[in-house]
Amino acid sequence: MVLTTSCAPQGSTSQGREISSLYDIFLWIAAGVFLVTAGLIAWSIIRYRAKPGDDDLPEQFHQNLKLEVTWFAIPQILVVVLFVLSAFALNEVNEESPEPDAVVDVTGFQWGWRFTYDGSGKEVVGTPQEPAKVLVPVGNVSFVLTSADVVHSFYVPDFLIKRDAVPGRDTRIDVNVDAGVYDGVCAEFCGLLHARMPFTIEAVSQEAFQQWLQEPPEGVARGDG
Amino acid sequence: MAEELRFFLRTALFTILITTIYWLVSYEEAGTTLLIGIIGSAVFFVILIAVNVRAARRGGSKLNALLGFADTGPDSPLGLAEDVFPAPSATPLIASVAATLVGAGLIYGPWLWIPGVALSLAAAWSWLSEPGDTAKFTG
Amino acid sequence: MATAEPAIVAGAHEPRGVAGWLTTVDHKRIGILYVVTAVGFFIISGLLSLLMRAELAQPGLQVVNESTYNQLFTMHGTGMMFLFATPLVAGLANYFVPLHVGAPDVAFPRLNALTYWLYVLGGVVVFSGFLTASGAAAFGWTGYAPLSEATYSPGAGVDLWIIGLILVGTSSILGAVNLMATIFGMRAPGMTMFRLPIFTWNIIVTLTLIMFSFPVLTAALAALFIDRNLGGGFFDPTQGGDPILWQHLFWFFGHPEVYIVILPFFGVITEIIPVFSRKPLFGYRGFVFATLLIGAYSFSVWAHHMFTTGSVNNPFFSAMTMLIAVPTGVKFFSWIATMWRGKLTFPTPMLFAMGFLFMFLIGGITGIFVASPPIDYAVHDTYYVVAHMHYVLFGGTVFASFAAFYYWIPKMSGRMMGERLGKLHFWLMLIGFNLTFFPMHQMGLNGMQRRVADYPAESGLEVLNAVSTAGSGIVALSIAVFLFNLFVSMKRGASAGDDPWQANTLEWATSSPPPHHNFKRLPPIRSERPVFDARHTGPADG
Repeated sequence: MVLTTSCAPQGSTSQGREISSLYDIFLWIAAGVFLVTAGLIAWSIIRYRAKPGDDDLPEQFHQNLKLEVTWFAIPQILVVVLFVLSAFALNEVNEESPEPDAVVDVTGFQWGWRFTYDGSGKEVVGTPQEPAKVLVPVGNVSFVLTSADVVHSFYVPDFLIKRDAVPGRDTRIDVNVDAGVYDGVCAEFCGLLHARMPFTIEAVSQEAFQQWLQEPPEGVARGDG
Repeated sequence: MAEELRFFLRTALFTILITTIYWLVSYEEAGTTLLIGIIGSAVFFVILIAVNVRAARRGGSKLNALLGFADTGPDSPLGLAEDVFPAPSATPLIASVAATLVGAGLIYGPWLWIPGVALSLAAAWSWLSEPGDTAKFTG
Repeated sequence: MATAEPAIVAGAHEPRGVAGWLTTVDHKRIGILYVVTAVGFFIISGLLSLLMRAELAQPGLQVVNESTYNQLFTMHGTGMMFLFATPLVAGLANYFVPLHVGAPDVAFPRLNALTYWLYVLGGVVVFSGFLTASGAAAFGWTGYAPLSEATYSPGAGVDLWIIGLILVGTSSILGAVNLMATIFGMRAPGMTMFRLPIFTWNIIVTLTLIMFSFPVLTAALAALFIDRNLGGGFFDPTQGGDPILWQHLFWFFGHPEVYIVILPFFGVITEIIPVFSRKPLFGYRGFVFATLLIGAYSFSVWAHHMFTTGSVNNPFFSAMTMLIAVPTGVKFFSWIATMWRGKLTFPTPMLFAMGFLFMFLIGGITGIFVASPPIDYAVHDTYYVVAHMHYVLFGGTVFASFAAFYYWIPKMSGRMMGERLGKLHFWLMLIGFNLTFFPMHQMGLNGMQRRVADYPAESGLEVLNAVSTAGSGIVALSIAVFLFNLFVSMKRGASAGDDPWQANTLEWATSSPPPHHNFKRLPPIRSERPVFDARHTGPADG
């Protein structure tokens, strides 16, 4: 799968699109701040370069309280705005769906992922040689994450979301997934084969998903967690 | 009030505010404990400097006399304006080798503690007995 | 008390040659030792990163295997943070704080020597992990538990990493106490707190951060050592411990640490810009206030490194982290207003200062992005974060370090650095740095995670990585130019004289290099620019 090289990836989940549009707002504001500040620096460098042979001291001004209060206040207001925007987005992204279309239990281990599905007995275990390929239904999916050993991080770049899988705890992400095939990786460094923990999630219709859940396991390579 | 004292007092007050907010929004113990540690550290410095400033106002600190420090000038609440400086010395190098040996002993076995402790004692002895070299501001 | 005459009662008789360096207790020689050793660790850690870039130039494993790669990035991070950046601060502060406050030495010169030797030996212990059978530590400089526990990372390399860092940390704490006592207790007559150079003000805040944060690291490392060797279970969930506790402890130290290695360099830039603008710093008190605010905020932002753990209060840490941008912005505007209507010249130190302004601006702005938890969910632990922190730590700290070197080496050695080579160094480093790190933003957005020796082919990451590796070669070349310049200048550089830059602060009121115990006489101190005052109001009245 070829990833886009656009500045801000679009996201294949409603949460991802939320993050993506937040990123775009930040990017516009940041571009403004950068242009103003860098412009002032560049202007000073070009305009106030000393002329050769001019040895007089420039005017020695020390401070200007009004100016200083202003340039304290403007960034202060700006960060409050950014914080509020980001807090609203955070609420949306963190919201747990009350009745998810599927709940997937994911356990990270050195070095692979075990996916189990509540109530169906379905289990898929990936290894570095044979990464896990699992299906989820299009719609609201909850991933409940934990780890069998060290800290891992469940990261699907197209979802624009990751969450750590911590031993001894459950963490959770809820996403509303579009149809498609998505590659995932481990994002938290977890030892020797950290780079060899890919997995693939395919979001299909509820019917296709249910059919897949019923299929008998096909000689899956067992990880020993 | 000395600026130095105000520096740590503000640190303490600000951290008290932050710690209160943090506890009320999170009820998280590890971070709150660490923040309380910061408050404690800042308060320690406030007291240390306050004691020195007070003693200076009364014309001399028993603590400074005990530690061998000179007394406070108007700008320097810790009172180190005049001091005796040590001559060149191999003691710090020996002391650090001793500390490294003790540390390595934790990994490779306590036999390393024998030279480690011996060097520590030697360093401690020479640290306390070496002569000084004086520089003094007058004026 | 207009003037002060230090009377050296007994001169020191330093042994000559190597013995002199081994036994010195002179803050200037210790400062030089610190700086040279720190640059040595910079070069070693930099070579490790070149190996990493070589490995990442194309998909697949060509240069090193995964085990080696993991050791490389761990020791690169550890070396740069603990053995380069922090000790470089100690070195510059050691040399210049006593000069800035008009003191003959630091408060406790032998303790000063001890801190240096603890640092060197600690650094050697950390790096000696490479010589053990199982190799050096390989879990990232953050040492996340339980990966760093004995079950998952056996071997003496890790224990050496722990013990070495405890030695280095102890050295930092002792050094901070020493310098704090120097600034608080040994200021020359007339040198009030609000006449201190901004560099020294920033050092005060830095020292406070060191004194309050390094003990937390030491405690965490000791607990990890107990877990590994003495059957403890602080961070082991199977024994009732908590891996998240390690992250709290580490980052409670780790985020102030970031300010420990940037605030002094804000100070360096703030010394340099007024000198080469021929104007006073605009808003001295505002600048000090901003520094204090950054220091105070820095203890309440640690868990922004833990947004994706799902076990911290994300809105609190997001708010505090964004707030810290405000005083940083104040500093930027102070620097700009200082240059405004000045008469600017651009010798190498000022060029590096300008490079710092632009590069740190980019790093600061991406800092706001990652301070937003939803955006961090996307980019955390990807190359986006690698790009951000290198814009802050390389674009910030390293550019400002070179500004400091070109500005202060004439004072430390008595010889000017070569200007032509200096400018070549600057432009090469600026181009190489941006080629190396700018593409990393896009790599991260495309989903390339950190700390991987390999990435899939046909993932759209090949070109970005190839460009990045090429850039790292240019950075390496620029460092070679610097070392060559240093070598040539120390042999044949022009004599610096007392005050080659027409500067403001007290280090320029004495010879280059300064004599033992620093000053034959001090100018009257009536503002934060005593040397400027002396130059422009005629000879001192003392």
